[in-house]
Amino acid sequence: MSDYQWLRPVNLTLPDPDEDSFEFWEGLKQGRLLMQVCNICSQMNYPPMVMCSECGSFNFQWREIEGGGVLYSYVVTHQPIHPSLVDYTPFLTALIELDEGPRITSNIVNIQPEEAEIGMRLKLELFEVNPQITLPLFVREYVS
Amino acid sequence: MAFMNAVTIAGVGETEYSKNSGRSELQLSLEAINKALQDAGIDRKEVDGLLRWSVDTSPEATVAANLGVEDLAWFGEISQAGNVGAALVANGAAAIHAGLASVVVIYRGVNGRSGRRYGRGDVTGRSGRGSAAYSEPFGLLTPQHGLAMTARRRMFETGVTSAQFGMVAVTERGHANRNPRATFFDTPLTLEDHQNSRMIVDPFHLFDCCLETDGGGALVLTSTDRAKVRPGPSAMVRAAVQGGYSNRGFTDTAAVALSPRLWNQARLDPSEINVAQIYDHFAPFVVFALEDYGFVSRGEGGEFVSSGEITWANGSLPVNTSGGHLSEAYMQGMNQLIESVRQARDESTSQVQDAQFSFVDTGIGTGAVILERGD
Repeated sequence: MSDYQWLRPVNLTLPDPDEDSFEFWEGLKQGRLLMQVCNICSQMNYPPMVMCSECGSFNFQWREIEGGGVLYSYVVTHQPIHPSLVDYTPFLTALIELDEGPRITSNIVNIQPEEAEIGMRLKLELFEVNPQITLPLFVREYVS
Repeated sequence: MAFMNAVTIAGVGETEYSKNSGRSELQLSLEAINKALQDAGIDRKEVDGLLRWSVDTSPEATVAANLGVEDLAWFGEISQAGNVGAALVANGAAAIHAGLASVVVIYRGVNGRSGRRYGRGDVTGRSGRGSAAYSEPFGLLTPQHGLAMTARRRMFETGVTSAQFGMVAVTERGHANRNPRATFFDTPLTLEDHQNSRMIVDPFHLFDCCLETDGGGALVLTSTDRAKVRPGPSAMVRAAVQGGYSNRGFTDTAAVALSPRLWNQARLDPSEINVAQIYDHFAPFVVFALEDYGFVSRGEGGEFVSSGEITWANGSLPVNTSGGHLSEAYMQGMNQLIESVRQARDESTSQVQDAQFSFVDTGIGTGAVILERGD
């Protein structure tokens, strides 16, 4: 699905969807980044919540978003302090502020770690790990 | 009005700090507890309260059996991670103040280097379950990954620099070089050493990161009236609060929410504190805590550190006077609680003169204690 030469660490943890997050991961499998939106007060949550912290409702819908945003913060793992990152350092992990407001932890697949810069424009790039799991990753958006 | 000196930390005890203790976490706990009870002058059979870190492995009932406790009236754990020491003091002091227990021991014993290692996610990893599904699959695998993310953004927002973080590490090393118990007693550290040290998780250099330590520590809490049998100055609990969750901004530590409760309970202002122990799992968080507890304004912590204000003996607020987690030992708040008691009792190797009020934070907003020196 991805056109980029980004190697995901083969032993890096995968999400283990549960009954509260199943629809989010199911949406990604179908090619859609879904945000949880409260049906009562319209607050958007990421990660999804069980109860709306704003108004107390349990009544949510899923809304597809485009997945544009800017780099809010980032870290670069140099020492493979976790065994899954051995042979994959330096490894960039990004925190992206989506245009809709929520911030999402992810990876950027088309830049080197040293190119990361807070404020850079990013857009969604779906990354199919296996038939069960598709991850919401990001690419740097170059303005032509 | 919570405790206001009605409860005293009457005894402290610790084992040696090492990379390989050669004994069980239970034994380390019990050795430390015995020393703390001897220090307090209290018989171990009189202990009726036991509190511990939930991430530790020595259950209260097992410890009680080994101590020969007659009637365990108050026990429990506080969950989260290593950052609950001050919260345990608040809990134990509350039990004593309410009359639910009379001698509460807070203890830990960890083989944090030779056994389960925090820094590798051994203790805190969640295998992509629950909220970890949204972080671990992208490489946020250990406590320091998330903290590095916060630190990077706060550097962007306030302009604080890696060299200013480095001065935290250099300052604490200087304190450790005066403390024979410290892991880095014999090894100096320069700012150049810090800046040249390898990146672990950028923006954290090696010397921004805490040690990993095997060891044990214990505190004995009892009423201030009962604690008076021990001669010399004492460490009374002026105030103790718990915290750890707040819905503040991304770069605000939990101290932003907790701080007003602390100062209000203590009836003190930050400027009245004489010496501070601050949870330094990573050096940048000492700067952030100084700001979020109100010792300095947001954005001023880096300069405060660089200009020597946290350095013993001439700084206005010496911080982590035993060497802290960066240079003494990583006992996750326990060694800092012990050092805060030493400061109140005139026993530190970097003793602050006339230290009437001794502050300790054990997790950047997860809890804080202010001790007042008693006669």
